[in-house]
Amino acid sequence: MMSTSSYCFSFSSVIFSWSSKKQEAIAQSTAEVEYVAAIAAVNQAIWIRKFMTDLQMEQKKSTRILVDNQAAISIAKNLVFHGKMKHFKMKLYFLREVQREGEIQLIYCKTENQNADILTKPLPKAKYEFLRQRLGIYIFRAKRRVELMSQEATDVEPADMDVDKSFRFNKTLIDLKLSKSVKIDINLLYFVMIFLDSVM
Amino acid sequence: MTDLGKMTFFLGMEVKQKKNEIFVCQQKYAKEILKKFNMEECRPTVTPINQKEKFCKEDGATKIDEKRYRTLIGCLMYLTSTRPNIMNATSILSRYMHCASEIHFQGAKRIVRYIKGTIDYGLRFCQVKNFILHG
Repeated sequence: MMSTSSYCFSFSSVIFSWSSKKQEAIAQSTAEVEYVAAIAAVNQAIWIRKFMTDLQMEQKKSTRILVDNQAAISIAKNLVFHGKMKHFKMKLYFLREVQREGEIQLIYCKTENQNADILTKPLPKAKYEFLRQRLGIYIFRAKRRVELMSQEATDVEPADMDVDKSFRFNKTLIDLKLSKSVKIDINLLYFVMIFLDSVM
Repeated sequence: MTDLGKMTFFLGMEVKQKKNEIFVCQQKYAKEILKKFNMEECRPTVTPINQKEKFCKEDGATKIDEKRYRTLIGCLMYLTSTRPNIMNATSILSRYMHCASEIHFQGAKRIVRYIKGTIDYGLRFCQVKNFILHG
């Protein structure tokens, strides 16, 4: 039985890049599963960091990736060889290199706080709803009702986005759509959306 | 080139732009799916997949029209672009595209029922001050 690995990335609000995939090889321990998943996440993180630099929004601090397995983190950190990892492929040790350079940090988090869990397994209702909220998935209408209520309370006019900004936003999207040489996926599009949103 | 104002609709995704946030959802597309599979009147569920249910290739149940199953999975796959929460359920069921049986189809229909219950959910991109990448 092959395990599923998943990761998701966010800028402290909503996730914009996620993946849930069956792993290529059969893993023999939980640590191995987590380790392979961490590598997938690290690869994506490196790409996003590179991309951010191109957008003149370089990430100065190292990116923290939350992993819910301490053994996997130890394998990535300590250059110790262990009997349980003697069958690992060489390419898997690239994670150590990345850690040493300091671009990416693996940090332990409890399983309860692991947001990516929703992408790997079926969950009971309570946990599912909790994680769904953590990912940034909300109802539109309910939110609006709350907002309207707060607006009535404070009596503040709803400020509109200025025309110039939205026009630029549209234009960028169109540009991206038209340039076929650049392969864009839906995540990238979201990324641009958040980026534009926070810059302007 | 004409200025059509704020973007509201893009590739089937509804985009609602406000001052500090952008809300992206596929409510209209979800409604179309419900209509296409005649499930507008179904009973909603709270989770997209039963926690205890295990699927397998040869489950002995009667095989069903594969075309219909694949269409449904394809529709759900597109929905995952604003709903990462159904990603897991959809990807599990998509593993049985070549040997779809009644049980798998019921699983897929459960996701549709979940969507029915959460039809107006979507991603909300808020403005944040510190632009730090988390994984």
